[in-house]
Amino acid sequence: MTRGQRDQLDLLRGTPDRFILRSLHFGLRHGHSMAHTIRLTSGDALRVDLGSLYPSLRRLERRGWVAADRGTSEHNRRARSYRLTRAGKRRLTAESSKWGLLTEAIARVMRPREEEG
Amino acid sequence: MDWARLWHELVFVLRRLAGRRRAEHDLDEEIRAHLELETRENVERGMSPEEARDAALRAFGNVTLTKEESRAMWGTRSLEMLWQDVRYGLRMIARNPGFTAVVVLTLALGIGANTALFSLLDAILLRTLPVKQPEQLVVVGASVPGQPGRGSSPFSYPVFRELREKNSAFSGMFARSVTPMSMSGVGQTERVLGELVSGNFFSVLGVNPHLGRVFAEADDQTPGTHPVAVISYNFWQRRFGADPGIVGQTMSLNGYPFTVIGVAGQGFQGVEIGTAPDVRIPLMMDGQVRPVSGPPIFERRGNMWLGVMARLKPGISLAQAQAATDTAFQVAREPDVRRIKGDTPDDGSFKSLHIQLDSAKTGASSLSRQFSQPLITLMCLVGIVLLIACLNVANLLLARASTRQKEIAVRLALGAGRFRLVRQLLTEGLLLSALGGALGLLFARWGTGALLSFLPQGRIPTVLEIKPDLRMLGFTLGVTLLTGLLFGLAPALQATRPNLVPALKNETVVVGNRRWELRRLLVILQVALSLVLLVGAGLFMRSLQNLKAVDDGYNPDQVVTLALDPAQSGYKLDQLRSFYALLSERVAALPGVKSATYTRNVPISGAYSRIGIEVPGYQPRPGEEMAVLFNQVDSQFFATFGTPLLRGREFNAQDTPESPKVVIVNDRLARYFFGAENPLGQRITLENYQDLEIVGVVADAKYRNLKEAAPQTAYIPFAQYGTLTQRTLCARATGDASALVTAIRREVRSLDPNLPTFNIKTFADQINESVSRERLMALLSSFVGLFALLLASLGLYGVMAYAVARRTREIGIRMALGARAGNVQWLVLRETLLLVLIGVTIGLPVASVATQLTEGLLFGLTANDPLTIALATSMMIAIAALAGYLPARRASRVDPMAALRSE
Repeated sequence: MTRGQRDQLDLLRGTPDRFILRSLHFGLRHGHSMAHTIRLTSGDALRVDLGSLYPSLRRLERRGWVAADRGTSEHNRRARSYRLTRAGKRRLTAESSKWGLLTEAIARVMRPREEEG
Repeated sequence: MDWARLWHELVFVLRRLAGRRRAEHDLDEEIRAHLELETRENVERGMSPEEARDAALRAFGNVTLTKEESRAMWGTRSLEMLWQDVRYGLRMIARNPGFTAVVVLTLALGIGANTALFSLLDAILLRTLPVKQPEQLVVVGASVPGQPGRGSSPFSYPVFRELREKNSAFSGMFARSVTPMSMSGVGQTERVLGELVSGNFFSVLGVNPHLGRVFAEADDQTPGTHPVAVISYNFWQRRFGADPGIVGQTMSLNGYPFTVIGVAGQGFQGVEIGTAPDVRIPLMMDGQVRPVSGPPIFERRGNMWLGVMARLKPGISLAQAQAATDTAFQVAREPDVRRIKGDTPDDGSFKSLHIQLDSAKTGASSLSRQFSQPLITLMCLVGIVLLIACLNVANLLLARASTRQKEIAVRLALGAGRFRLVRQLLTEGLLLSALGGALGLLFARWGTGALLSFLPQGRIPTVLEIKPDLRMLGFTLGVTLLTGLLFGLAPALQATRPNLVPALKNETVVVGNRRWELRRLLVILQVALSLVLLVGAGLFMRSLQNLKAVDDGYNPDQVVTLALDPAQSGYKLDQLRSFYALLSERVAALPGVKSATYTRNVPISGAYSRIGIEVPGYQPRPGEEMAVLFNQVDSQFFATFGTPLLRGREFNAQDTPESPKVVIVNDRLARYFFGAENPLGQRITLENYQDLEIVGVVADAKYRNLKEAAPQTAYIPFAQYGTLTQRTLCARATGDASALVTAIRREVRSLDPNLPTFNIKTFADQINESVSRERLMALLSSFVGLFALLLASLGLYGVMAYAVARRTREIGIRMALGARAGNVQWLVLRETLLLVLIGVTIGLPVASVATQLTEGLLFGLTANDPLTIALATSMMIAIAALAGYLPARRASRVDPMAALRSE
């Protein structure tokens, strides 16, 4: 498998990770509000599978893209909140542009080609 | 590879591992917080608290699974399991100390032997020279095409000079000549190893000084005018205690003063593996340390004293360089071919010599030529032994696994994954091999020392530095891992598929006809491989025996030899004459000395001379090379060495410079040239020695080595010629020869306290040393063979004992039905012998192929020597029968009643 092919597969497989990174773009969050943000910003079209949210967060943490802070939530409960690290921000930027290319490509493929029709 | 990211992950994993409890707590808290927030929101949407909680849980999914998966993301699980496996493995190892000891010792011997041999092999054959771009270096040699290389110093100075001037293929070409010298002027007079080198030696090699400077071209221009020396780093450390003030000091080499201008770089011993010169001086100073009478050595075409090496120009192939150099060589030696004069080296194919280039990446070494085949053979032998050790340990592990069948069955029944169990058993195997490897390293240290003592120590001492280094550790680690996997895998796979139900019910699993179970196959393999080793060992032992039984033509016991070189210390001819006469007179007068004499070359020491011969009336056949071996000796030589005088007389006091010149020849020479005629009184000419009268004929005696048939040899007396050559004093004792050494040295010291003596040994030792390679092979291969035999018989014993234990009931029934002890014994023995015979049937063809490797190393027999093969086979069968007899006897003592009642 070439490097490029592998990147493209990752692009699809890593989609939930990308949402998580994106939802952290505007600052500190904890898991619950991340799920909310994703649901809201997508107009309720996308739901994060909660069962994979927390494992994903651990994975992103291990990769060094997000960091966890121990803080208190709005209701004064102790909870971990996450923020993007510098590496995470770089990753997000790179991913976003790649994502843009991919969606564009998919859109072009899916659009009926009129000259043949 | 993204190292930063890898590093980050590693730190993360380790931190999690350390703070595991806290991380668990965090995860619990986090999920609880999530659920609470969700519940609260649901309540705000108007659900009842219970509904809200249920909805939150439903939305979340499987909490436990999420936790599990999150934990997996920490990446610590595999490490945790590994740690569990290791702890468990260590407990198992500690619980069976006897078992562990046997396994670890077996592995340690196998791994140790492999490591020791590898380090020697590495030092002699594999390691590259510590110089700049060693792959460009070549040894420039001269050889007859189709024949292996001749001496290491094949060039005279005029030929070297011309080759160097006309060279087009090399970026540099240097010459060197190694010679022992006596050093004085700085503390005690000492014999050191010197090397005369051309001025570009260091620059072509790219070796830099550690202190001061090394030679430049300007240091090697005009004969006798460059009294400068560069000492080696090791010599500087050892002899001068790393004194930084050494540069500028004066030392005297063979009586001539030299100024030390530098210390060569650390780690550089020399270009020849095993030869480590202490002091280097320019070639042009040869006349000062090795004075010769007559024309200077730099003009002599007959003295081949230079070894030549060169550095290939980039982009030029070895073949191109060889062709170019050969053209120049043939032109340069044209005068030599026309008139061969002086001591031509070696045999008579001088005219068909051609240049041969060999890569000197790993150094120019006679050691590697001499020892590469034996070392590779031995490496194969110890490799096989390690394989046998692995088979043996695998067998033991299998046996133990059967006793652990219940434990394993319980774990499998409780849902342990097979992979997990295999992994755990493998971990145990690796722990055992790691212990074996660690102990093996220790064994290897001793082994290497023992191996080094087998290297030849001639005129030039062999120095090999073998220290445990990364290569050696890497090799051991690799071998250890490999063995661990090799012997661990099969038992692990077999053990983890037990028959669950009977195992759990604590029943002995009665398997139908499992005659060909894994353990038996392993034993058969062991027997086959051991037989290969035994045949090899037998071949080498019998070779050595043959060599020792050879009639060398001497009576070597009670002779002691001691080399002297007063000419190197500045003695002139007349001084030499009186010194030698006085010394032999005094030594002969010592109590316990029967006779004393001198010789130019000690027989069987590797030193020899060859000389052209003319016999009036003898017509050489076309192409026949008229040359014989030659030695210069003193009176009493033949009496001292115990060579019988067949006709005429020994040299004696009648032979003086003024008397008619005489010669003694050996029987072979006499018969060859004179046939039935009486050789006494005949006249022959030996190159520079004209018209010699034969006054004696002696029995044939070996000269160069024990393997070669006694060559035609002529002897002339020292007494009739003035000569500066080094001599060896030889004395025959009435009793123990080694006791004489001190007394003889005292005599030498009383004549000249500063004269170094060297190569002091008994002649019997000398002969022994000449077969050191054969002794090494015989000793090591028989050690290896016996070890393998022991392991194979242990394996056999184990399998048979287990079989008997398993069949106790059956045997009891047989005996109850009237079988006699003999029948039962035969039952077991028959099975043992069957295994052995199958092993032998596999082993013999393998051996006959494998021993082809040893062909060139044998003496007096061929690789498929029937006697050796028969001996090895019967030894194998006999030991195997013994290994089978013990369980057989136990079987025959089974008490039928007890056996029947046991279940």
